[in-house]
Amino acid sequence: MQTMTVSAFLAYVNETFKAIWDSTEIAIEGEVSGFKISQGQWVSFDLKDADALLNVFLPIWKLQVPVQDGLRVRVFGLPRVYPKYGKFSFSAERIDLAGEGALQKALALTRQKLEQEGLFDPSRKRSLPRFPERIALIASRESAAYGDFIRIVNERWSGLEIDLYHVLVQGERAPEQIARAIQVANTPHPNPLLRKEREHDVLILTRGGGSLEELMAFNDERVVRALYASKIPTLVGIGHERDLTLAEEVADVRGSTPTDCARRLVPDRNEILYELATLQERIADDLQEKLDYWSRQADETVSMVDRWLEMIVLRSSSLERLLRSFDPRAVVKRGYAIVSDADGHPISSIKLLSPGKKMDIQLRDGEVEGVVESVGRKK
Amino acid sequence: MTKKKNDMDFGRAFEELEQIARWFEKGEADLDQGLVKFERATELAKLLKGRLQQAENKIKEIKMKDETD
Repeated sequence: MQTMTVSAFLAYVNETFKAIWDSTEIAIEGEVSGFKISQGQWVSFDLKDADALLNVFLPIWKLQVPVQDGLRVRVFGLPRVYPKYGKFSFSAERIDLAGEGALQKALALTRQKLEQEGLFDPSRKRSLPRFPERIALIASRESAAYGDFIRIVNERWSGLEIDLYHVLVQGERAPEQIARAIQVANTPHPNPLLRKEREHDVLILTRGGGSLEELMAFNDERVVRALYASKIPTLVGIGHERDLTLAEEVADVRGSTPTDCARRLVPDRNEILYELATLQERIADDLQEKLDYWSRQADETVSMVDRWLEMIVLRSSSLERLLRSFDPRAVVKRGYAIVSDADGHPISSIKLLSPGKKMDIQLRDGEVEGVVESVGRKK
Repeated sequence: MTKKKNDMDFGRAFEELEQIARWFEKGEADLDQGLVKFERATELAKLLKGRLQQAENKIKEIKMKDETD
């Protein structure tokens, strides 16, 4: 007889499984139920058929296809008893979707789920700034998409600062890298003084065309959620016009292709130069109009003053004529005489005279000095 | 990157120019202010044009930690 410890026995069982089970050749197919992600890194679900159930467990980075409850999958891996709890489970290495159109089905399920959560809600779409200064570009530096994007941006605009986050755009590591790049681009600069100027105005995610399998990174929930969480407005253009990935659906603005992204990002330099010229012309015209108005106003003021002066002159000359008509000298000229006393005060009444008083008499052509002989009232 | 973000914020300068154009359109008649604004508009337009004709786009690759490629 032989005795074993529990630990030794389970280790023996696990070793045996490992020795007899070909984890690369044999897959277990079934329907997913109770799919769950814990702590953002562990995936577990039940794989079922009509009569049986198997608990499947794997780290999230090994999950390369969108898995949901109700999907048929093929699971590769090792059967294992977890010693601490004595629980039998299947430790998955790889999961493939099973059946016809499985990828489309999986995609539809993910889309439906995220849509219900409100990730594609049009009301939360932000618009892009008209003149971005600094952008985060997430793309593969070797891709044609990157080349096309940069070429069009250079053709159209200048002075832009582009931070390139080089990522893989297909394959199993792509989603994780892309999601991480989105997070890094969103991370504020550690120096608060530089924070504002290092902020990105737009985040762009782009790649060229490919098959549904090749574009799956852009339907990955991690990428979609990272875009959803981005504080920077997002512009996403994947593949051709006809390809619509979830990343594009969650983006604030969708570009149909990489070149379309470039066109949506920056305006055309020539259009802006034209607009600048038009603006300047408008301002100059308006100023001219104002100057004309002001000079018309000034002219009017001047001519008003002129008219006023003229009127004054006119008035004063008639006044002069009137005054002149009162001038006693004019009366003398007509044959009358002015009598005044010795001090030159005019005498208009006999009361001012008495016999012996001197008086002056002014006539048309000279003066006469005389003495009063007698004073008598008018008869 | 140690270089500062573009010395002139293109968007802000462009907006200021548009505001001046709107001010003139409104027909406020103040000669002194009008002349000051006109001068500013000319200066802004010159800066903006200069920026469009000279500066190039700068690309800088950002290395992400924990990445091997």
